[in-house]
Amino acid sequence: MTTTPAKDKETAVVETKAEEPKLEAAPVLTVEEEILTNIMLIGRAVATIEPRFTTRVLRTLTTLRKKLTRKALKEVLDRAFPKGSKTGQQLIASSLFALIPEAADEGMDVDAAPAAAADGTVAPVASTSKKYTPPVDSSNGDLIPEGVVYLRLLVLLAALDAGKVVEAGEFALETVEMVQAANRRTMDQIAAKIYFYLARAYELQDRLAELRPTLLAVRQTAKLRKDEVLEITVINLLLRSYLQSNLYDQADKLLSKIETPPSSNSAQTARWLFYVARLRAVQLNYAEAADHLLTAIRRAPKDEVAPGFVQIIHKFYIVTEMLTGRIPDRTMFRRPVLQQALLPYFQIVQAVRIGDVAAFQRAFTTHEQAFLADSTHFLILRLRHFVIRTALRTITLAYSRISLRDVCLKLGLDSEEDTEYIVAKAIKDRVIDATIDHKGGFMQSKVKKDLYETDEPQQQLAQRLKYALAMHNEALQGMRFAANVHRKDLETAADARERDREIAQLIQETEDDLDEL
Amino acid sequence: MPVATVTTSAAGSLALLKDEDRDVRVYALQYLLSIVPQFWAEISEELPFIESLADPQFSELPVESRPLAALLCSKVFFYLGERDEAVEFALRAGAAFEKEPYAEFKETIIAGCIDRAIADTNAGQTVDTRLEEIVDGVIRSGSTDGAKLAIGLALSLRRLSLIEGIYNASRASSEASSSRTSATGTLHDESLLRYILAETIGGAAGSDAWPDSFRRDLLQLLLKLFQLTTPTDYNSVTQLWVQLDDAAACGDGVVDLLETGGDHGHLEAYQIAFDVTDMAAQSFLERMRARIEERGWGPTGTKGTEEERTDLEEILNGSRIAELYINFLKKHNQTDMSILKVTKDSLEDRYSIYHSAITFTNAYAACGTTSDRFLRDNLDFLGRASNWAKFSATAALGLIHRGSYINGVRDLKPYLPGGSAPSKFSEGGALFALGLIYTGRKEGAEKELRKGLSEVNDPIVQHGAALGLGVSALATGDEDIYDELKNMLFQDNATSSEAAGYAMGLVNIGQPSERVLDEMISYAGETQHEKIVRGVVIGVALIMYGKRHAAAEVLQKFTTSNNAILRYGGMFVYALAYVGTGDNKVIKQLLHFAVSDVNDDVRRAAVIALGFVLFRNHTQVPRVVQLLAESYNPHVRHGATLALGISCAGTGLEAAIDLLEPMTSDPVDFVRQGAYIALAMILIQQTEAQAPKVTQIREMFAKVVTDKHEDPMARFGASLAQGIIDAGGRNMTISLATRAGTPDMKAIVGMVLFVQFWYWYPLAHFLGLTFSPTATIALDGKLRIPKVDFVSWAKPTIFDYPSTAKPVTEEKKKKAKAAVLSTTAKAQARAKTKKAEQGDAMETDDKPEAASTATAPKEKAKAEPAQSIVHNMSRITPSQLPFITGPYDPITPPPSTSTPAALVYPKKGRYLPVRSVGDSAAFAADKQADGRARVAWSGKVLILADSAPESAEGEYIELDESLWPRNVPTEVTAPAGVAAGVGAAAAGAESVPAAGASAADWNGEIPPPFEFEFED
Repeated sequence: MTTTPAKDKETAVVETKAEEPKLEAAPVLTVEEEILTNIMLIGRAVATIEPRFTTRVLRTLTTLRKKLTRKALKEVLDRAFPKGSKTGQQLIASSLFALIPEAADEGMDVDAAPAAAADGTVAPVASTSKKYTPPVDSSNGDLIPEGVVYLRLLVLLAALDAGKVVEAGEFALETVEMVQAANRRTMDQIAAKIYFYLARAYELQDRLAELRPTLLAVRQTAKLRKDEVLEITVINLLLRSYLQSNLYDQADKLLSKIETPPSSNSAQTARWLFYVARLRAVQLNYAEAADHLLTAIRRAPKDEVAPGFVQIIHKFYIVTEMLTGRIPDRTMFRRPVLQQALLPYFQIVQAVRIGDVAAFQRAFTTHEQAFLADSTHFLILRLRHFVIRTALRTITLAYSRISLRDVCLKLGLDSEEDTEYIVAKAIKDRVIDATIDHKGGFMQSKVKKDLYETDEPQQQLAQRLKYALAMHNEALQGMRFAANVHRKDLETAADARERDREIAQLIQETEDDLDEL
Repeated sequence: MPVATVTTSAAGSLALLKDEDRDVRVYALQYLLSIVPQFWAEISEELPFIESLADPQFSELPVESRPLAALLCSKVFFYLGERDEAVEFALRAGAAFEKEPYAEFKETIIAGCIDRAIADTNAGQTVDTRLEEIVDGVIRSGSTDGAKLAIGLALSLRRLSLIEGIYNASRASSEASSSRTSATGTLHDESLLRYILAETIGGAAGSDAWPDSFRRDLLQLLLKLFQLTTPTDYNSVTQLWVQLDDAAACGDGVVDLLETGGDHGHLEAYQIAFDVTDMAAQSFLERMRARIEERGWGPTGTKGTEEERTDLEEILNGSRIAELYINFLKKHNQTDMSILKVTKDSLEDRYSIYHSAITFTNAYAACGTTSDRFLRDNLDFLGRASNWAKFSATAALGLIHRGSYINGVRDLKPYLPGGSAPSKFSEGGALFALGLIYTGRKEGAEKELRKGLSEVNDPIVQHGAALGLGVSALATGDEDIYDELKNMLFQDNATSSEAAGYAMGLVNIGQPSERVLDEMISYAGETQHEKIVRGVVIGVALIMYGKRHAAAEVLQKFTTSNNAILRYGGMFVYALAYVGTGDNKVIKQLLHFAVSDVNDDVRRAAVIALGFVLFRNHTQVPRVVQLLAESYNPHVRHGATLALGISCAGTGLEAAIDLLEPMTSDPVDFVRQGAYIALAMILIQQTEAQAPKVTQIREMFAKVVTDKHEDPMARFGASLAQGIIDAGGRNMTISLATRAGTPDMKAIVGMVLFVQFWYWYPLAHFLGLTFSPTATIALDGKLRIPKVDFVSWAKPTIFDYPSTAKPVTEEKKKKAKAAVLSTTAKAQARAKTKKAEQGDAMETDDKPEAASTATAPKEKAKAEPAQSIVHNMSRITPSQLPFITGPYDPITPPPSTSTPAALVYPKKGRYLPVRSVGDSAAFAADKQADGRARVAWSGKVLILADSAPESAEGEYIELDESLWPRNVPTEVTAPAGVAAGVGAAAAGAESVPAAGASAADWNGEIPPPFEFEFED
């Protein structure tokens, strides 16, 4: 088990995107009101078959999760269902619900306080916001299944927060069965969340591997039903599970046999890129790994929403970037959310940059535990060679000819013979441009060409342009255009025409009058 | 073999698969099959090897295990998302696949099998027997409620034997069988057959891709199955006869019913005869009559009574129904004369375009009503007609007297060549008018028309004669007439030869012969006159009517031509050859031409053609033409308006109206023109309750017509629109399909020629062919019209006539709005705030007023009864039909009370219909069944069985004899005053509220033929 508090946060938070500022600005709703509004939105999504509304609801899940209390949940469950429905009461009576603690810690008290204060003013709030009417499933007169599953998701979250992972896992399995039985396309997005937290509950119990066959089956079903969100969610869970058990081969085969999932859900896409990058890094394909991580960084949610995730991808990015022979930008380490977390890596980068083998070793031993926790340990081990190489490079730049002995001393290597081997390997790998004079026991550098004489700058520019254009295209594809907006222009055009005609008419009439005069 | 509980790789089993021992391999295979859901990604690396194991030529595995290898391949491909490969291997696995549990894998593979079988069928390849087995299994397992699905599948696979099998296996639902008293043996579910029939005719189930031979075989099978049912569903059988073009069988069927069917058979025969006249082409009817004559039931035959024979003959030659319609249209004429008057007064008729506009508006509005009152009232207007406007004005008489088979020649006598009017234009117009009166009845005026064609050597008269001859000999394929027209064509006169081109097409509609096509197409290449080329290519398009794939050669010739007019014609070949099929390939082609041709006319025609091809899937049309309606090219936009109008005519489709409304303020005049006309077509007979925008749009027409600064083209369009929306005294609708759902050839042809008005205004008269009366007429066995009532189970206002416009008072010149200076505005604002400050007292004053106004409308809105009574021989619009039940004995309307009368369900009366008319249960069922389910009755003429023939004579509605003098030879020119008073009696006996002043004025007295001395 390699999870740390930071990673917990990452798992929980990356899921959702930043809440829209508009929503934050909206008048403060009590938690109950907010949930009920959400259920109504889900009802509208079902009625109009428009997934947009569900997306909006799920976007607020993170903020809502922090505010969930047993009291609020109970009230929602009391009110959300149409009269005569027993589903809500069954949920309240369920064993899991009983385990959710009453406003346990302080943070919850703070949240609960305004809610309690608002109790007196519930009526005015209700009258200003739309009155709640439960969206009803016509077949059985109960709340629509999407609504039920959403409520179950909230209960599940509350239980996870309370640390009741075993019970939460059972509850999630039960919910998954409900989802499968309902088999409704309007439920897909919520279902993806349920699967995610099911996996989360299992992972916290260290049983994620048990879930693999289920997840594989779910992936197949999702693919057949073209349920893209669920598909990418499940693939991410599978990759996570494989990587956790070091089954890199399985992960690679899975990846090579499926098509790249469409980027409809940016949080999950970022996740997918992260896992793929980790796999590639293991496979020594650092360039691709770094590319994926860079995209993941750009795709990732805002710092304050998912700090854990942002930190971990930066850690991996820094390491893979160095493995490709580049030194990461210093500004990266100054970002408030990263400053503290990246400190160990900062030291490593500094060592690599100047090629100080001793400093590297020092930093490595001091922070070994942190690297182990981040699962970057093995990658940093591989970095050691890079430190030496970088040092070699600076040496070749500084000296046109230097004896191998001096090199050995400068690099702090064990023997002169070793040094010769290392230098030879560096030359062969084209890290440095030099020759070894074995008889004289020295290394002769060649004069370096001016970089700007080559086509390298052009290639760099082309690469950046390509990236920017791809991003632009993706952004365009991601935008929604309201239908028939151009109609308004037509209307105004018609008005303008009408005005022209009136003027023409007026002119003609005045002319007629003039003629008569 | 790893026996660990958690397997983390399939590598071990894969290695075992390559073991030397066969048994080990089989074991590995079986184990792999059990873990494939988890390790498919790994196994897929070894796919080539597993594929070779499945190969029958490869002996690495024992024979019995090879299917297992195939199954493994199939599963791996399934997980990889390669459905086609997965299907292929599943087929090879055979029995092993069938043993699979029914889950996602099997479901997907079976779906894949079905898709592949359908694709193979459509590509014309023979379907793999293994595929066939699986698909058959699916069809057979289709339970009874899925029978329709199974039928649909069988249709897609074009398997007649399966269709028959499904039908024979089906059981009629319990309600249906209990209502049938003659339950001998098992009853099959007839609704399945009707479903197939509707799909076949409606062209919705991809039937456009069917080869003609399969369609024929299918119809033949349906006919066979329908004839086995008891009691026979003659409505469907009649449709099949018409679809199969089997006039002889139809004639035999009618005669058999007359001879052996007893009383009921007698009625059934009459009903079939009426239905056939509604559905079938003229040539079909002629062959049928010939057959009946052969069997001795012709007018001069020996079988049956003379009365029966003449009745049958009169039904089949269309004169019976024409007589009924002309009576209906005259008696219920609701033309709003004030609209016409305003239009006439505001359009300056010294301009030819406005003169024509008024002529057409009047002709449409009075179509078939025989009311020439407008002309009589406005003789000065007629006097200002010049040249071709005169031609149109005279031809308009043809529309006004449409279907007046007895009086037609008499009415036009003064204008015909040799009559009292000396103008060539009016002579030509009169000949065209004759043709319009005797549409599809060439014997009516053949003599006069031929005389006009051959004896008068004047291109203008010949023009009218050719058009008249063409439309009266519609689809007869008459060789003599064709040859005569051909001679005229070869004279190469722009005026007369153009008309000859159209007429040659009209005569040979849907009957292409190599000779005819050769002559026409080669002539189109020879002549220098564009008008003639256009006439000929449209003629060719008419000949290719409904020929689908048989038109390919002509299409190839036309659409690839360098000559834009030929390509223009090519678009109409598409429109007519594939009319109503909704063929996707054709739509693609037309869209291609609509956006890429270099010629505006061709592009416009291509878009219009879309309307024809799609008219049966009219709800799709707004979506298809939406982008075209916003094209930068005004011709394309114009085409889009007409395409919408043509396809959605009479439906009031909201999406179409929404698309057209902004186009009424288009910057280009002719786009507006098209939009007005299209809106009128769509909103014909729509009430405000059905389409809320109708009032507003009517007002808009009036506004455009009266607006002097509006462009002439737009005013022309708005004027026509006024005529169209109130066509036939508000008693006619436009529909390109008959009520039985078959394409109405006459209407389609009329519409195609109408859209040629772009080049030649007189052709606008052809729109008259698309109008069909919306009357419901119930007749008894002796073809009398008993007084019976129907009940319409909807609020009366939903289907009522629109209220007559108030006579317009002298329009006062509006004062120009005084410009509001900013200071004034400020002062007003100040005053307002002051008022508000004074506030309270005033507000209290206002309150009681407001309260009273609030209560007033409540009192006004009288509770409307939930149903209305419809008498025999009165208007029932197509959309009203599903709400109709009956007939009942005459009903006294319940006293109007403030509370809505409870739904009283009257008992069945003395007369019982031969065809079932929807009862309320059927009505409810229909409402859900997306409107496709039709009442078994075509909705026009309904034959009633008299359940008490011995009792006293019932009351009958009498017909106006002046409109249809019997026993008077047509040669008699002036039967004036013969039947004075009869009509008045009829009107008195009729309990319909007086049908408007215009009709009343002319009732009771037969006016002399309308005469006007045109000056030359």
